[in-house]
Amino acid sequence: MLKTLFGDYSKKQLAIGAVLIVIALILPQLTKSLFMYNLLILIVIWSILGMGWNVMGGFCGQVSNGHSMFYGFGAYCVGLPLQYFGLSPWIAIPFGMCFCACVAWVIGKPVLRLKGHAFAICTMALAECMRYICVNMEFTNGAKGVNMFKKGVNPILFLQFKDPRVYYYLYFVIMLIVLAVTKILSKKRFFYYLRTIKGNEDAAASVGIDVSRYKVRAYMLSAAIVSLGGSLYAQYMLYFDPASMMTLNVSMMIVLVAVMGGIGTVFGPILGAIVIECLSEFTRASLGQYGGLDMVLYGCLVIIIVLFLPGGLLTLPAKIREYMDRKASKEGAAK
Amino acid sequence: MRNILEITDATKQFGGLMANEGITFNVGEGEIVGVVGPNGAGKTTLFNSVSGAHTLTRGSIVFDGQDVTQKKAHEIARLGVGRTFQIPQSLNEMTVTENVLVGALMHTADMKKAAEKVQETLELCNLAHRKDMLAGKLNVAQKKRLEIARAMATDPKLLLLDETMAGLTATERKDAVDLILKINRMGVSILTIEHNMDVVMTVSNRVVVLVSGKLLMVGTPEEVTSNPEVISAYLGGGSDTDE
Ligand SMILES: Nc1ncnc2c1ncn2[C@@H]1O[C@H](COP(=O)(O)OP(=O)(O)OP(=O)(O)O)[C@@H](O)[C@H]1O
Ligand SMILES: [Mg+2]
Repeated sequence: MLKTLFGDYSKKQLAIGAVLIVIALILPQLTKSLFMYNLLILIVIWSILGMGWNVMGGFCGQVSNGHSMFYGFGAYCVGLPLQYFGLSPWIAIPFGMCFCACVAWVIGKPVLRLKGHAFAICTMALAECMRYICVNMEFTNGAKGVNMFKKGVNPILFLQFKDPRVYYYLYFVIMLIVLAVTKILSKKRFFYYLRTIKGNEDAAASVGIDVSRYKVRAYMLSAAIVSLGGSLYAQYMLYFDPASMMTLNVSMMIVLVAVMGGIGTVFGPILGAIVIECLSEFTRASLGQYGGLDMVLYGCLVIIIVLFLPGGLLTLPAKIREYMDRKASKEGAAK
Repeated sequence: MRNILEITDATKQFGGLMANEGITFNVGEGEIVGVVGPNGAGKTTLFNSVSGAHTLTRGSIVFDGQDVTQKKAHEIARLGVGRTFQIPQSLNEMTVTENVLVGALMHTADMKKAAEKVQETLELCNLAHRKDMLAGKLNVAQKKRLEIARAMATDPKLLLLDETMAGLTATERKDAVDLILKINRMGVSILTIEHNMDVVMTVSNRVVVLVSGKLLMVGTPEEVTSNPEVISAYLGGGSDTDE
């Protein structure tokens, strides 16, 4: 297993990875700013969301625009059991993941018959429907949302911490686990099959791959991971409402994180989450008072990156190297 | 001789078009059967019916003693029918090795075992020196060989080859003929669509002639080439021997 996890990387790459992890671990100790803590936690949560979407959209090539549905369900799956039964998130989070996988299984069979744009639009519409349902049902507290804060409960049992850094460290470990799972799966038949389906469904069927079954499986795994992200977000905020979690905006952000970092790659979503969260949080903090200017700048930056780096930020080093090589060979030719 | 494939009254209709109509013939175990016919004769359509890419409008297909008429493409592949596509459907964003690997993974989830199979198949199809290349970067001849390699990695009993020679140079064609004969000697029965008459004559034990969706005749290469109907319908008709 160690070989599957680390075998692909050179010593240098492993060293860089180790340094990055150490930096990620000491960063919160270097600052007292709540803004920074919040940013770090959001990066970790969005990395998980991006990795979840990537299973379906990146590896299997089925672009869903409705993953905010599972994000919201993940939150409800910890919020409502707590409200009604006082259930600990340690049980509720895995329950939410299973629940979302089941939802994906049920809706996946019909929805995954659709291809390309039709699938994207259908998932979008489904997520919108679910938002309306959640806003209008009494059982879910309607638009009021769910307040999860409980005074005097056991912080470890109920994951309610005063110090945001505790959330950060816990979520960081969870993110590493999701990352490791993705990495291991990327070397297994399951992910090779998903990539084959993405490449060509006829070719996939010709080597015995049950295309629709594997699509549904990818959708289930994807939903479960995004649900985990939603649960973690709710658990961190201790409050959420459907209007902020289950919107089209959120769905698009999830797609962006994966696309910007490097679609269909193991590390892409983390890189995407770092860039997108920094961009959106910093532009909001510095330009937010000029009503919408932050969104304009944010949008422009996204366009620039997507236009010039269609393979995502992960391809930036290769692009630079290519550019340098070309420059060098031109100079060589000039001499 | 036992039949590996029995096609009976195969009929496929697309709207008002009869792409295949009442086609009946068999492929014996270990045989190489060539399928010839002018453009649009329904050769690829017949392959798609056999491989399960679509189901027949009428008729039946029995493979290795099992009725596969209503089976899905992936099920038929698992039973032992490998196929290539007329337009190579290589997985362009994956390496040559990975393209073959997805074939080898059909019978095992064990990566080590699959990797051995891949190596063996790459050598068979003369692609070992390109194994780390992205499939999208291969030339036509290599892409065609990759199609064969991916199908061969699944250990098929019957291999369907759709115009593997089209677009190849004379030397490449000779290599491809050698490869087909070698695969056949490994015990794989082959049904091959081929435009080039020389090739068909060299490799086939028997030849099936389709014209406008119907079976014109089945016979040995000599019988087929000397049949006046075939000559007028296909060979004489300003044919594309070198396509
Ligand atoms: N999926 C489809 N839908 C509608 N018509 C089709 C379909 N597939 C094939 N056809 C039609 O069926 C007829 C036979 O096509 P087919 O591809 O089987 O011919 P072919 O013998 O393989 O020709 P070629 O030598 O050009 O490859 C053609 O007229 C084609 O347009
Ligand atoms: Mg054809």
